[in-house]
Amino acid sequence: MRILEVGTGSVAVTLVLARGLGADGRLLAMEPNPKVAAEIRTRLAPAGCADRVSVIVGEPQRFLHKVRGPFDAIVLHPAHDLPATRQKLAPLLAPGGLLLSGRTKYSEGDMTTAEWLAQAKADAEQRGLPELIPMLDGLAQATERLRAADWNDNPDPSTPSSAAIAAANDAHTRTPNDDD
Amino acid sequence: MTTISAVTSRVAAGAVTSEQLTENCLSVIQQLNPKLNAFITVTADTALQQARAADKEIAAGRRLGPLHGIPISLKDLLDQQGVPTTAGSLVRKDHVAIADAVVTRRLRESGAVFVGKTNLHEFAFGTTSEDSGFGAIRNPHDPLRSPGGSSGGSAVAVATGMSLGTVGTDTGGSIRIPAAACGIVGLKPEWGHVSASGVVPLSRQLDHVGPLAASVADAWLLYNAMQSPSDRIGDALEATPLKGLRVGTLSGYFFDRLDEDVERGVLNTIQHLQRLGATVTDVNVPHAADMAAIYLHLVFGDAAEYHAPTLESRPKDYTEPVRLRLEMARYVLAEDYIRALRGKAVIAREVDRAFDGVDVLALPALAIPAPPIGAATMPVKGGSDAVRTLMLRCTQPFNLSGHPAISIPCGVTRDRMPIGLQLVGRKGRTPALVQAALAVEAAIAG
Repeated sequence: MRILEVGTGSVAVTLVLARGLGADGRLLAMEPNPKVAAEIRTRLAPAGCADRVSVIVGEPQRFLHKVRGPFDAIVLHPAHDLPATRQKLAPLLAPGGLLLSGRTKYSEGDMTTAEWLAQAKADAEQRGLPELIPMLDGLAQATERLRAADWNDNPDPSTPSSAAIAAANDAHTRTPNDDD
Repeated sequence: MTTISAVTSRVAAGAVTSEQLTENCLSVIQQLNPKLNAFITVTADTALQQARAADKEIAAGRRLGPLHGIPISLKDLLDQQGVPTTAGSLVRKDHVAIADAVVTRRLRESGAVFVGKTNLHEFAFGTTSEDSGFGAIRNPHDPLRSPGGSSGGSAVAVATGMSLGTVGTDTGGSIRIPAAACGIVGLKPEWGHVSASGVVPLSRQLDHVGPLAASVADAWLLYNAMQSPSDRIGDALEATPLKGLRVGTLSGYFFDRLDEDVERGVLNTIQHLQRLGATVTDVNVPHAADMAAIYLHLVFGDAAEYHAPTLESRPKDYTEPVRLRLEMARYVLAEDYIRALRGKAVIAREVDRAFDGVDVLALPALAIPAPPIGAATMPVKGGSDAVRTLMLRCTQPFNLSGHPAISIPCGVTRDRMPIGLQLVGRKGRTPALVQAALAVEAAIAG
C-alpha cells in the first residue's frame, strides 16, 4: 500500500500513518518547511519506520506534478487543502483510493482503543450527541478486532496482486528534489 | 414473474407492445405501491412516450435488441436526466439530475423504458430499507417484513412486476441481500466492471452497480447492456454442464451463524448439485472473521468524508438512525482506516486462493430470512445476533475482494420466505459465473 501525505501537520500524524502501514507499505511525505522535514526524519528511525517513509522538502503546489502515483490514500493537511492542490492530487489517486482531508480525525501518538473511545465519547457528549455514546462501544469493538488482527498472510509472490503491490512500492524511488 | 427473456421475443414479433408492458407495470405500481412503497418517483408520462416510440421503431424493423421497449426501474441513487435523484433522503429532495448516469445512458441506448426511481435505505447506508426519507419499504411476501436493502424498492419492483428488471447498487450486499429477501436474482459485478459514474456514492472503493431481475438470463441481459458497446458479449449465454462443475463451499465463518431453514435450504441445494454431477469441496478464507471490522472502518471512513458537509449544514434532513451512524463514522481514526485497507488487500488475496481448483464458491446470500421491520436482533444457530451484522455477513467479503457474485432463489423457509444461494466467480470470469448460475437455477427449478 502507498500513501502520500501532503504537508505533514504534526510529526505525530506522519508517525501514526507510518506505523499503521506495516513493514511492506510506503509513505511519501511532502513538507515545505525543511526544519519540520528534518525533525520527521530524525524521529523515523527510533520509531522503527525509517525504511518505509520518504520525506521530501517541497511546496506541494510547485512539486506535486513530479510525484508519480497511484496512491491508495492521500492525506491532505488543512493548510494545503486548496482547490488547485486537489486538482493535482486527483490523477495520483488509485481507483477506489481515498483522499483524507482536514475533517478526518487523527490520533496523537500512541493512543489505545480505550483512550480513543473515552475521547470520542467525551466529544460526542460535548457536541450534544449523547445517543452516540453506546453506539461508539460497538465501533470500538470492531476497532479492537482490527488492531488485533495479524495480517501476515504469507502471500504467494507469484500472484498478480502481490506483484502489483511490489511494483507500486518501487515506484516512488524518484522524488521531486532528485530532479531539481 | 414475467421474465424479459420470455417477453422480448413476443415484443419483437409484435405479439405484445412495449406500451402494453409499460401500462401493465404502471398499473401494478398504482395498485401495490401505496402498500409496499417501492417507488419514490414514477415517470408514467415519459415512460409511455418512450414505449410508444419503441413500438414505432420495432414495427419499422429497427429493433435495438432484447431490452428495446422493456420497462425497467432505477434505484434512486442513479441519475436519470431531468428526474430527481433523492438517494432516499430529504437532504437531496430538490436535486434534479442534469444528465444520465453512464449505466442509465447505456440502458437508454439499448431501448429500455424507465418507469421510475425506486426507494432505498437512505443513501444506501443500511440493509433493511426501513430508514428512508420517503418511508419504509415492505416485503411483498410479508408486508410486516423488510424487503432487505439497500436496493429494497428495486427488489420489490421486480418481485411484483412493477418493472421487469432494475438497476441496484451493492456496497456490502445491497443487490444480493434484497434479491435473496424478495426471491429474485441479483448480480453484483466484479468491482470496476460497471461504471459507477453518475451514482451517489457510499464508499467509492466498495460500490458496485448491477442488475436485479426475475431470472439469471435477465440479469445477464441487463448486465451486458450496462457494458460499453465494445465490452459486450452475446445476449444469451449457455448454461455450464453441472457434471464436472467444481463447487467450493465456504465452510466455517460463513455457515456459523445461520437461520436453521436458510442453512437447510442452502445445504440441500448444494447436495442436489452434487447428485447432478458437480464436485463439492470445502474451501476457506482464513481472515473471514475479521471482515466485518475491515468493512466497517472503510465504509465509515468513506461515508463520513462524503457526508461531512451536509451533516453540518442539513442534519435535520437525514433520518435519525442514518444521521447518528454517519456521525459515529466520523470518529474512525486515519490509522485504523489504513489498517482496514491492509486487511482488504489480504482478504482479496485469500478469496483468490480459495478458487484454487474450484470454478465457483457457494454459500448463502443472506444468513436469515427477511427480518420483521423494526427487529434489532434475529435468532440464528448458537443464539441471536444483531440484524445489521447478520444481513451483511455473507455478502460483504466479496465487496472487499471485488469478485463477481450472484444471488439466486433456492427455496423457502417454513414461513414461506425466500432463501438466496450465493455463487461467487473468479475475477475476470463474470460470464463463466453467470453460465454456472444458469445451470444451478435450472437444477433448482427442475
